[in-house]
Amino acid sequence: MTVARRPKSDTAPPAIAMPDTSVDDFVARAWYEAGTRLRSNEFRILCRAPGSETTINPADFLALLHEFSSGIIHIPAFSKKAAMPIKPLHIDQPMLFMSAGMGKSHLVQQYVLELMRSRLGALTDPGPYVALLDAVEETVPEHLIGFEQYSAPNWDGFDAVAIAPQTLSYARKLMRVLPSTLGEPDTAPAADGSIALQWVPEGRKHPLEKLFLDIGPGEEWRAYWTMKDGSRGRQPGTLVNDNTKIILEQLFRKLSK
Amino acid sequence: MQLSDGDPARHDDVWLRIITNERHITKSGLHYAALKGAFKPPKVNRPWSSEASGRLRSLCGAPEEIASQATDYCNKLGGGQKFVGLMFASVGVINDQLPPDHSTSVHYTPITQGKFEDAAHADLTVAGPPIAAKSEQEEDLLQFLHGKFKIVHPYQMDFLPPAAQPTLVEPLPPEKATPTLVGYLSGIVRMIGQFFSRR
Repeated sequence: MTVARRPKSDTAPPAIAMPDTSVDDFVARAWYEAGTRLRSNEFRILCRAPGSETTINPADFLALLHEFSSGIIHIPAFSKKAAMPIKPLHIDQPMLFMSAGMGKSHLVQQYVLELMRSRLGALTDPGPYVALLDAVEETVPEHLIGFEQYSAPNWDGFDAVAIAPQTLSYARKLMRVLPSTLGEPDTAPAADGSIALQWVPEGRKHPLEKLFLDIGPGEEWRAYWTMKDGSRGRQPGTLVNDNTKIILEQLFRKLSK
Repeated sequence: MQLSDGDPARHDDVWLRIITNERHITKSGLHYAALKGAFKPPKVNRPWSSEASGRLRSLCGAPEEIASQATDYCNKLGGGQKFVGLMFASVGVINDQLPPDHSTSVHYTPITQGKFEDAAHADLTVAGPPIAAKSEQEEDLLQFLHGKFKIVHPYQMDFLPPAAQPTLVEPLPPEKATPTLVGYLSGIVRMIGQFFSRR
């Protein structure tokens, strides 16, 4: 993490010191954070429909999607005119939702300040931005830290397929709803561009021999397992939502009995 | 008997593969991610549908040489990969049937030229219909193979099991390999004869 640069004067608009990371990575994190807060009704989404500024809640969200789906997020503090198109929107897809009519730097400032307020209780001081990013970093599942290094092909020396940002982002979402019933998984990149989670419970009395869970490539997951009695099973899935959490909890409970 | 390109490896040999990712070694052994996506269709016409690169223990020298060759291989890759361990299994254990219509084995496939020339190269092969990514067959194959492998870290190379030298030992035909009373007795007589002839 780089050290944030403080603004030149206290009266200047809050400067946003960006981390030494890729635009994609930052935006993915920002979208995720915003989406999480949206779902928990913590995050106040600022959007400007023509002539108005309003706060929306998840129930109104779908109705506004198409209106803003062609917008562009500019992050001017990232040098070189970095711009990220807003991807096709989906209610389950974490996102930072902004209108093109709003001042571009203002968009980012509002987002950052909103995060600061909720995370750190700081409203106007951009100084804690590094701490903020650290806090955001904490929300990235520990098991997936560093997986960006597998975004280039042949990362293993055996012609591995790159792990796409979409797959990694999806994995982060899925790992947040993983039950802890079977303990922490061993998480590893696979050469087909997927992320592989493995549970091999210790102890002869545990009924489960091994559970494998593939995430991706793309936005899907598959769990398959072998029990100590030799029986096997599988469970595929795509969406990540509250229902997914229930499905996985039921599965993990079943595999523990 | 000298192995030729495409020959099946001996049952008593050991197939090994370099691991370049630390996450592929877990507390419980090999992570199945080390196998997932490792199988590719053969580049030339072969009697198997997919293969994963590796080496034959009998042809790649002493443990310290294997470690040194693995490090050299990673250096040649030039992508910052590191030699973090080896996965290995006896060929006899790998030679197996995966119902309903697949089988796994090891075939000698030396690389005779180029940057990665390797006279010990051998593929872990899967015969049968091609296995599609994300299919139930792929899941079956991964679970099937996962339990067959052990791993060693670079500092544990002495734990690599030895393998028979394919040029020194002729495999017996199956009917002659079956132990019989006559076989045992003739073996004892032969050993006694060798003992006295040396004296």
